[in-house]
Amino acid sequence: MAEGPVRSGDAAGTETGGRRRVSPLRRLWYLLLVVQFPAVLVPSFYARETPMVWGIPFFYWYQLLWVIIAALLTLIVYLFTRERGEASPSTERVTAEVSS
Amino acid sequence: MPHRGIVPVELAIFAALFTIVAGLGFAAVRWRRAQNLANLDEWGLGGRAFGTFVTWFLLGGDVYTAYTFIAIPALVYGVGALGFYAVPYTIVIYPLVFLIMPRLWSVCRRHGAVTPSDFVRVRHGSSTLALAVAVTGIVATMPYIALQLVGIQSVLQSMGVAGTGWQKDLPLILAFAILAAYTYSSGLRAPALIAFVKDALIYMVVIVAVIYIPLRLGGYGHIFSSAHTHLAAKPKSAQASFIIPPGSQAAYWTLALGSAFALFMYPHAITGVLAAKGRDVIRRNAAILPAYTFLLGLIALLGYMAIAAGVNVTNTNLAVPELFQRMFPTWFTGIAFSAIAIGALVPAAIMAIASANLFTRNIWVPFLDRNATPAREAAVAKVASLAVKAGAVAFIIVLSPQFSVNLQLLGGVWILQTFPAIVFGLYTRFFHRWALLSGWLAGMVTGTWMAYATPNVAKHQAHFGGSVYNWHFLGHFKAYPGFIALCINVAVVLVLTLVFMLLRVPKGADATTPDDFEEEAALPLPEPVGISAVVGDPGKVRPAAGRS
Repeated sequence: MAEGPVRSGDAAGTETGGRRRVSPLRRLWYLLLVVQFPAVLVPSFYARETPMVWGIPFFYWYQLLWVIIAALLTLIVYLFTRERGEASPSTERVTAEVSS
Repeated sequence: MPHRGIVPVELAIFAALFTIVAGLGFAAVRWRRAQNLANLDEWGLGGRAFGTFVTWFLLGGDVYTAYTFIAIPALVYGVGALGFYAVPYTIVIYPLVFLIMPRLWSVCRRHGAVTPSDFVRVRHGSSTLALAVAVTGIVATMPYIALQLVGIQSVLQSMGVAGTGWQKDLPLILAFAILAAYTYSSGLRAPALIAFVKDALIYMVVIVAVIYIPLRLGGYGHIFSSAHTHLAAKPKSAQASFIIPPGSQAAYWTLALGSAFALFMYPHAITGVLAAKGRDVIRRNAAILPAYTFLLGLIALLGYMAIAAGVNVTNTNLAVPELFQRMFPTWFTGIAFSAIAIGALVPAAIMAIASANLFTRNIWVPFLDRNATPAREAAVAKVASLAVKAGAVAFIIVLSPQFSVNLQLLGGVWILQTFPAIVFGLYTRFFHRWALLSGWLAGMVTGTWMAYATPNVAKHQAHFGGSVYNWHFLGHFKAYPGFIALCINVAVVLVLTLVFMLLRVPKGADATTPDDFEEEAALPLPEPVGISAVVGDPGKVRPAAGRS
């Protein structure tokens, strides 16, 4: 990025940005988001008719089931990586005022 | 299809619900009233103040359109398992939204960006690249709006309202004129408010449908087995299957993944994201929006229910309306049809607003009217939204609906080509602006060509025959042309970035700081400013003290 303009905002940005960032260990939770990609994007896992449930072939109920699993995974990641978790309470208050 | 004429009860319920919604649209101007609607932040983004609840309805109403509710079961009705790609597609989209969209939201809020192109301009310092993204967005969205009309049209047709001759399109024009009027006056607040009604109706109809219809048809087991028999009996040229065969698996997953990459590049989806009041709202929504995906999966199964119910239509878009008419009492069919029609109004309004924002911010102001005030920007956008809607109606009436289906297919391929400029830009400045522009061009050309070269034997179409391309160069596979084009796009971006680096071609100026992408809504919005501030002086430093 040597050709880019001098961006004097950088230094200040890093300082103020630090408090909001999620700690590296907590970022591991993001790995949960990866699981759903192979689970639903590799059709050879589930392009089968059996086992059926209530007459619904595996191909169809497997994918519908994954809608729920994927939503739960996202929810878990959300709960464990909440950006405001460690932020000062004032952030929340200001936000509320601004957007009201 | 059997023509049964107009059923008064059905039409009366439809008209009543439609009137209520129009009233809501006009009243929305007072909802969360702004001091001054005459700027794009208010008109075009609803003040960037929608919370989790409103955003859920708005985005849900936005990306799960009426056309989806007609076309996905129509696809399942026609070709079977391939149509179910909509489910993995709308599953993998949410981790992407969860990770990517908060960054876009933050940087756009920080820089007063209203459109994805605004961001591209700020980040890559190239108004040409921003123009390319804006034009792609508008061109890809137009046929999408037209398709919402196809959704309304198939409902009107099933109700027997469509007359003959010049009157044929009158109900459609009337519906759209009303929509245009309240979008003009209320901006994004109108679809946001109507989305509540739309989604309540859709959820109700679908839940009733997936319980009541199987009860009448003898259970899910029977529905699936008759679909199986029916699909197996189709000629091979129809390429129908009950379970995805090995040869179509690449098509299935590239279609799902490619569509997922594409969806949140559409201007209307980004508009819905930017209208949220915070990053947290977007992240939370990524966890709760899959409720709509589940709904979509159930809706897809309506295609099989139509088969089991013996619905026999050549225009597959009529399969679901026809199924409803056969299965439901007339009053409930009225409600179901209203749900589909109102389901078209919400996305159509947001799409028109998003295109208008793009036109104003990235074409009109930078190239024609550099000194526009915020009030003037809003005025231009409002007129542009009218023009977009008129264009969409003309599309349907003058050209054939089939043409807009073709274009919509292309639209998806095209919008996907803006992915590197927008999403790569959110994470890194490594890629050169001219490389991104060249990649975009390469993707557009190859994608368009592949979509054009796809025949459809069953429908006797030589071109634009579907979303699956038969690749024959150095190996053979079937895949979504948009996805192949994106791979070509990315390859060009990579190679040319290295070339431009070696040649020391200067990069564009970047007006963002790393912190801009993490910004919470801790600051009051800056006074609305015109494009001049967005283009800005790249070296301009905002006072750091103001942030904490």
